[in-house]
Amino acid sequence: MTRVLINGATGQLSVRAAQLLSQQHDTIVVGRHPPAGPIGCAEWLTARLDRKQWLELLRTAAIETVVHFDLLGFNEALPDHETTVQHNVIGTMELLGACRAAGVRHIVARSHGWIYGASPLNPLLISEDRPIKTQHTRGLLRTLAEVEQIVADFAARHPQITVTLLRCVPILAPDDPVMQYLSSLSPQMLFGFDPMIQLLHVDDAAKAVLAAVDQSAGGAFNIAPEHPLPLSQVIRRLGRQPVPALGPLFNNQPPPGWPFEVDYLRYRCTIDPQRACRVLGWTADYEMTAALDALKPLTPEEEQQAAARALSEFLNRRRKA
Amino acid sequence: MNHDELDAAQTNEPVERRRPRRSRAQVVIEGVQESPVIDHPDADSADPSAAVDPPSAASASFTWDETATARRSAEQLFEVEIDIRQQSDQQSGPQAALGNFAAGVVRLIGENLQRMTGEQVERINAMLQGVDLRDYLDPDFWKGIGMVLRYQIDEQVNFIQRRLRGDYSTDPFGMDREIIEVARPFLSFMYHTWWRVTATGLEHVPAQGRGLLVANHSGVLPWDGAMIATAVFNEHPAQNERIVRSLHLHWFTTLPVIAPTLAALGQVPGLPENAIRLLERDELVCVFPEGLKGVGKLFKDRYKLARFGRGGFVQTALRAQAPLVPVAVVGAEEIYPMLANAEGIARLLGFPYFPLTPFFPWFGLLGVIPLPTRWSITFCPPIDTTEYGPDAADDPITVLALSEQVREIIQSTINQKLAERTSIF
Repeated sequence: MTRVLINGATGQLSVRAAQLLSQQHDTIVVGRHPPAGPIGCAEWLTARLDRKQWLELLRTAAIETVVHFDLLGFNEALPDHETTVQHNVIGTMELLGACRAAGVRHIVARSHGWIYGASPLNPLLISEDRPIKTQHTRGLLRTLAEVEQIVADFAARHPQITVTLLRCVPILAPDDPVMQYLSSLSPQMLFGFDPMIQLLHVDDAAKAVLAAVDQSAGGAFNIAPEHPLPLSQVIRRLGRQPVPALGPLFNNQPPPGWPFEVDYLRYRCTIDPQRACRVLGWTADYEMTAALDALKPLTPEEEQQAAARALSEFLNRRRKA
Repeated sequence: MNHDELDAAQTNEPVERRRPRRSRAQVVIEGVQESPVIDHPDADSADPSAAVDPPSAASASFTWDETATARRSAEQLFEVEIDIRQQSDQQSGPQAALGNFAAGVVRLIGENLQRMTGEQVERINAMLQGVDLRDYLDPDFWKGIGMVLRYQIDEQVNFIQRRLRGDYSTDPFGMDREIIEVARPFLSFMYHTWWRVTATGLEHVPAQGRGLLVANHSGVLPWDGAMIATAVFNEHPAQNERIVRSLHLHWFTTLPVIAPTLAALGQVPGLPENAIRLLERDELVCVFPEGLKGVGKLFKDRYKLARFGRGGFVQTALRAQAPLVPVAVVGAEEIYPMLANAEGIARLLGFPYFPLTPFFPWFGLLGVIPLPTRWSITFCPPIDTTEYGPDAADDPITVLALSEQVREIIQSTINQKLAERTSIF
């Protein structure tokens, strides 16, 4: 039983993680908006806290572990660069400072599996010891690389605090920008390219957060299903047909709606979850094909089976409680 | 119908298609050729029912073996096609034309069959039950053939629909077996007909488990990798259709269309991490240590091996404890005689080299057609790396010595093959 605080309540991942964490830990969810879904037995606080208030909250509630999800760009379209820097970079610095002053022992921060950058020189699966790309030009990764450096710096200076970075690949949830792009009516791909990509089921990502909180092992962890799929196959499995775009080959501008650099539509950036398997004991429950199929609407028979399963699970839980 | 044409069709095609599996094709021929000789001369003139009456040898030979692959069944169909052609050759007028057409249809079915699964082949077998495939004057023949053709078209449509739903599987590197099957007929054509490759020493290629093939690189475009893969896939004595994963220059990953095609065909960007990962998955990997210096070699330097990189391939083999199999390719040097390298244009286009051959770029895309030289591919006895242990990978002396050893084996094999060669074509 640890006292855990989750910062950031938007997005499927924080909701699922709050559900899982609150089953075993004393959990508080803090966010600017009310949580996007049911958060189990966690308590929640809707407020925009400043530095002093953070310190007060962390001290009073005697928080041991802070999970930092409050970064713009994971669950929404990115606002202008200045707002993003203010929120992601300065916000993270303030939180880290408050954690240090309040004596928090463990910080789990979310990062992105594509932080290494897409490149023709990438091996099949990238492991954590490959240096991250710091010169991203576009989207969420532009500030996230800075956040990662700040977090890594902080970890190096404060050895008494365990700092865990979870580099999750895009999550198969309707509010994820990549998912929104791929399930739009006619997602564009770069003509003549079909990189392999990884997408993570939200339950697997939440399980990784739980494992990180429980194991309190420091450092960066790649969180992804091991077997990537070609981008075109992912789009087709989502029930759409990819449309080849020629323009980006010449002007290097991403097709409209693509939230990252155009290189992610050209080269692979697939990551190796071996360290998470070894150290955190985490493995993906969903193969990518299974995770994609889970998004399909159910047939009436499947709906019945799912209902029966859900009911028995629910009753089991009731009996135990 | 022109008889010369028919003759030409008859003499060319069997030669072209029998080449791959001589031994197996011959077994089939023995079983099949008896039948037309025995009961067909009279069936020619008699009415169709007479030929159906005795349970004909042709349909009897069509009881598909449980383990028979679609390919083997297809070869039986090709034999039938030849028989029909022979038969129709003895006739004249519309019957000969019909026979010619029937032979063409049987061949088409056979070719489609090569891409089908065992289950689908069995269904076709059921449709053809009791149909004498050599008697094209029998209405039953056309009924059976019609059913099979419709079924095959349905399956093609299914195949395309399934692809469009994204319902297929790839390995983590993006290799897609279905795409390989689609590309195979073309590669086999290049192998047997265009370059008339003779492959020797295939027994030195491990039938199971990991192995690192090391080959000389030549010919401007990396056709040699494709041909080594075709040799192992088609002609390896174990006949288990192993796919050779060639490592290609990572520059190809930056080229549209080419990058995903190479990946689907099982080729992998040449990075040491990828090679180790492939070997650890017990795959057969092919490397060209000469790299760019090999493919971009000038015609005057042909068959002189360039430096073998920095021995990275030996390190990989030692780390993964995989045997090294030296491979010597002769004939690929002459497919595009590269007289000069236009470095200025290459730099402008961002290419590693820009070849000037007698045909390229003067004849445009026509200049990309390779010359039909005669090739030989020699697989040399493997070098065991287990005796050195994985730590030897960090010992430059062992690494460079092994690298040199492999290079010398390949060079001497090339020299020997060149001395034996009587003509380039």
